[in-house]
Amino acid sequence: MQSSSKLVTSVIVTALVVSLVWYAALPMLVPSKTAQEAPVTTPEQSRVIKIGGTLPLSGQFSPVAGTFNRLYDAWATQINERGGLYVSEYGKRLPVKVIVYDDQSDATTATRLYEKLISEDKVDVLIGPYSSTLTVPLVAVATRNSIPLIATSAGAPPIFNQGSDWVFVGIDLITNWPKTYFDMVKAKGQAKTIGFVATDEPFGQGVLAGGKTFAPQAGLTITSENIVPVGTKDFTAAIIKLKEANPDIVFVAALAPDAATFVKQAKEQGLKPREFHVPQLVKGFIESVGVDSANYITGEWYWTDDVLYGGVWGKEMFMQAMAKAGITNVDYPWAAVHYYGLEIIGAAIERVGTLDKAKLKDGLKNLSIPTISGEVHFKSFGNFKGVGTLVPFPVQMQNGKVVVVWPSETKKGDYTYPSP
Amino acid sequence: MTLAPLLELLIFGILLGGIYGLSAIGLSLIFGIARVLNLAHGAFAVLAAAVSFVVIQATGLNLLFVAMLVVPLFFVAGYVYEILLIHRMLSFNRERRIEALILGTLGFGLVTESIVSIIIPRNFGVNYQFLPISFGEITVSTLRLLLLAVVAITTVILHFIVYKTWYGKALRATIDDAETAQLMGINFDRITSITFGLGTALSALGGILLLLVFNISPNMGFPITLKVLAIIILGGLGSILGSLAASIALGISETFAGFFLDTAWSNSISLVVLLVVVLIKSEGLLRR
Repeated sequence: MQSSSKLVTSVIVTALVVSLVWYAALPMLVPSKTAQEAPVTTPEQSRVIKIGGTLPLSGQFSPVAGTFNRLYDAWATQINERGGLYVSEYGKRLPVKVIVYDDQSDATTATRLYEKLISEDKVDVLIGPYSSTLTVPLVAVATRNSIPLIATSAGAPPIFNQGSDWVFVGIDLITNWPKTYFDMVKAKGQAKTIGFVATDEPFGQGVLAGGKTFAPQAGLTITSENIVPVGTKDFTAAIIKLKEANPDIVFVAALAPDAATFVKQAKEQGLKPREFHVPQLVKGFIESVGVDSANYITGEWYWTDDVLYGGVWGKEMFMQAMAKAGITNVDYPWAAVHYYGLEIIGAAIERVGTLDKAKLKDGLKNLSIPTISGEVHFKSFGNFKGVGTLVPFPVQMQNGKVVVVWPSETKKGDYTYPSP
Repeated sequence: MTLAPLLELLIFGILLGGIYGLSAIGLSLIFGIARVLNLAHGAFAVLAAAVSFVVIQATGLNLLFVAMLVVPLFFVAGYVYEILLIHRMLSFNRERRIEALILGTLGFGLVTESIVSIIIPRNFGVNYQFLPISFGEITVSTLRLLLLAVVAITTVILHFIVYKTWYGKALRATIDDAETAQLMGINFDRITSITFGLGTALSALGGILLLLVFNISPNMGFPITLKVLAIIILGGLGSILGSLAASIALGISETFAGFFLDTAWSNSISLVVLLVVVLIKSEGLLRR
């Protein structure tokens, strides 16, 4: 028995060591996939504008943003059918090419691929990946390589705290994400208490910080705050704490996969607030919890076809690109945010009239660009010069459909509180 | 604080532990008979959950019906896995055997997880709406109670198999003393293969139950193996009831740690238990 025990101990210790080494080496062993082959270097007279980025074509974020490569391709086709983007430095329109790699929803993989886009593909400008988590390490990459990075679904403070002249984001700080939601709650005036569950990653922490600022301004008392690790599988402890606190609103500041697990278990375990609020009320979340369970949950979207703004090339062009890509806004509400990135890049190149990276960066700071969700200009946050101004609209799942419920000039349905 | 949340924590801890229990019993039996630490054990749970999810999505069949198809399938998979992979590695000399078994089972598990992540590149789960039951101020998940019932029934069946059948007698004899059992005419290879099939089927059933309460991520397999490892170390290798008791103890520890310390602690408490038990009493706290 003694020798058996020693054998068990040695096997376990060896297994743990081997596992750690394996997991550490895994990102290096995973080959990347390309949406398109890397282009051959072109001579100046046939200059192509190269835009490069990664998307979660696989991995946990793929249900949320794994189809946006098709949107980028559709947009590039539309632009090229118009002759390309006009660059005054060249005195003509230049075609665009978007190079997209699969980051597998992994920050390490994304960082490696952005280095490749810069050093091997020699892109003119970078478009950001999906999520703050993947964008955070790219600020240093773009700054070190002196190349503009137009970030997309990324507004968490760790991005901006690093300080940079080279990174621009269409959307406002993630801490301002829930502002319009709390404006709506305040206007309704019925909810009195709120409890938070937030994951310990940039998106969750950013939205939580915003929520804690705006909730008291909306007359709400915070009765519970629970920070949980990203990827938590069992939320029982947080759910029992929330049951004890019994808030009117349970606000789940987490990305869709974690939010879905929480809501699924909260309903299973009998947590019954008057409203669940989930910032990422997206297809992946709704499918995970089921349409019936998702009914009357509130969230935020950046764009719907009720929004009146035309953007750089007109709302119709965006809708046609979405149709060509086979993407619906209902299924992929963050598509608009990635389209802002294309609008910002296109407008900046045409207005600044150059592909010189430093000049583009300097020009972007002073531009006001019309997007499909309104004008965006860039403001400073400490040493970071490129924080955008776009914030999302509050929505609510009503009878199986996601409906804009605020503000009054855009809403398609009335905000229902408490949930039936 | 009232008593109600403490009671709820206790009940949910027991229910959570029950869900871990099946996989733990499976790995415990496998280790007990073959002295093989099957690091692919959790990957089989994830694979079974994925197969069930795909079948449900494609056909709309009830999970219970799907489980009745998938669990026997995984018995066969475990049986074949033992013959094709484990059996060959067990024939190596002692030093090569340990390395081969660690790398072989770990590699098989990681490849399995990768295949699952290619087929379903996201978290996945199924939804059955069960209204929770309230007892005064205490509310309990009906779904988890049903799962605990499944675990209890399975444990009774297992107990019957192990203590009332020829296979069980041969299994216990082999766990106690493999050489003497072989001298008595027990076919060690066959018993080992059957036990791998049984253990893998239990892991598969555990994975299918997890599908109901968690959203499964394709890379959950190895963390499940580590958790189950902590349980069987705690419960004593090769012991069915010890594994079940240790599962429940771990489930309760996780929920209480999450409530009184932090949810991050509830995720890592199993590893703390594993390290402490290995360092202090490596034969397990609840030795068979």
